[in-house]
Amino acid sequence: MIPVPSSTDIFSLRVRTQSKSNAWSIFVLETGVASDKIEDFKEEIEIISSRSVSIFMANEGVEALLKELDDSISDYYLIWNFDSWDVDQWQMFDMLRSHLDRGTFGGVLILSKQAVELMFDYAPNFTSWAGGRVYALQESSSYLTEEEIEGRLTGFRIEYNYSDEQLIDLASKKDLSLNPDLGEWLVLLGREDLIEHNG
Amino acid sequence: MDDWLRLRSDIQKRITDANLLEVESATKYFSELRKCLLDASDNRYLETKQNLVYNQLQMKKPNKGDSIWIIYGGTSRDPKNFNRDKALPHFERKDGGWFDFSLSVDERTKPAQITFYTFELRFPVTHRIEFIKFDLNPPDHDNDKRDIRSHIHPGHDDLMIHSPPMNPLEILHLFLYDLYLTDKPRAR
Repeated sequence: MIPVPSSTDIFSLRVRTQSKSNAWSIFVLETGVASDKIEDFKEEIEIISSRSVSIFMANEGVEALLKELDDSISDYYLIWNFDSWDVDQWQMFDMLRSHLDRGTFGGVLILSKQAVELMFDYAPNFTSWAGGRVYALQESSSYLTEEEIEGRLTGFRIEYNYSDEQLIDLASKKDLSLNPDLGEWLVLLGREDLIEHNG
Repeated sequence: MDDWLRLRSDIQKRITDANLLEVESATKYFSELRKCLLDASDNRYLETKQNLVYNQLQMKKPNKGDSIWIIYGGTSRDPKNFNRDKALPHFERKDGGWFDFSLSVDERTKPAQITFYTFELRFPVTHRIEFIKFDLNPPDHDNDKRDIRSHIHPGHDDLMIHSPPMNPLEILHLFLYDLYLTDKPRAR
């Protein structure tokens, strides 16, 4: 199964439009992930979809995970840290998969490439349940590209008739009343040091 | 004139004392702005479709070692819309009014703060007022000297009136759900 590339923000939009159909997805990561990134992902889903989201770690094994799930009330679940799971764990997970039927919006399993291979091989029923909802993390397209940054800079240079060097010189000498355009221009040039802290 | 200069300084101090500009983080704030726009698209206050709402809200990450983010609504894939050209990307309201904005989130301080913004709403061409613009300039000595860091332009770039700084999400709500001009102005 080839994962579909998706950023976390596109994924959050999917959760927003999803009905209460207990849909489970799989997110495959190339590399390990830090817990603060998982928190960011949770926050993004919560804000965009207006659903409550709980995070669970799977490293204590299937039974511990399913017990935690059974005891929880949440609209959506985000489960990660499966790297310690062996063949037995995945087979047991597949057998007990009905615990994931929460009558809510479902959830997402965040897996490394190695873990997803084991899941495909030893949890075939769950894999089938997830169906086409298997995604590979990609960078969000919400970030400006270098070309777009250059487009902004060109617009400012034409409108204000300064070169970048003139702008930096004037700002350094405090000979310039900064407005939002000039503030943005300095930030895009990497000269945020010329912008005072607020307050 | 001296009195006005003193008064102007007093006004500036009074309205910037209230700190409505703190936010938790740039990325969280970005998601909140996106949700606000998606909700308005869902409930048809915004004509702009969801895919464009998604595409036209963007961020510039800080450079390595830096901490100021820029968030763009409507304009980032092109140079800034200095000429109010409706052919350039924007968000469009159900009455034909259209707007774009940009703002910065400074994570050099904790909590993070909005340090500058510009929000401009252009009214449908049938109205006599062309636009209204809300600006918060970056804090610097010259703005303090001019005492008008936070201001609105009521339909003309040369007119600036003190305005209390608003949290950008508040301005976005104002643009989406208020500031509609009627054909028949209210009685004076």
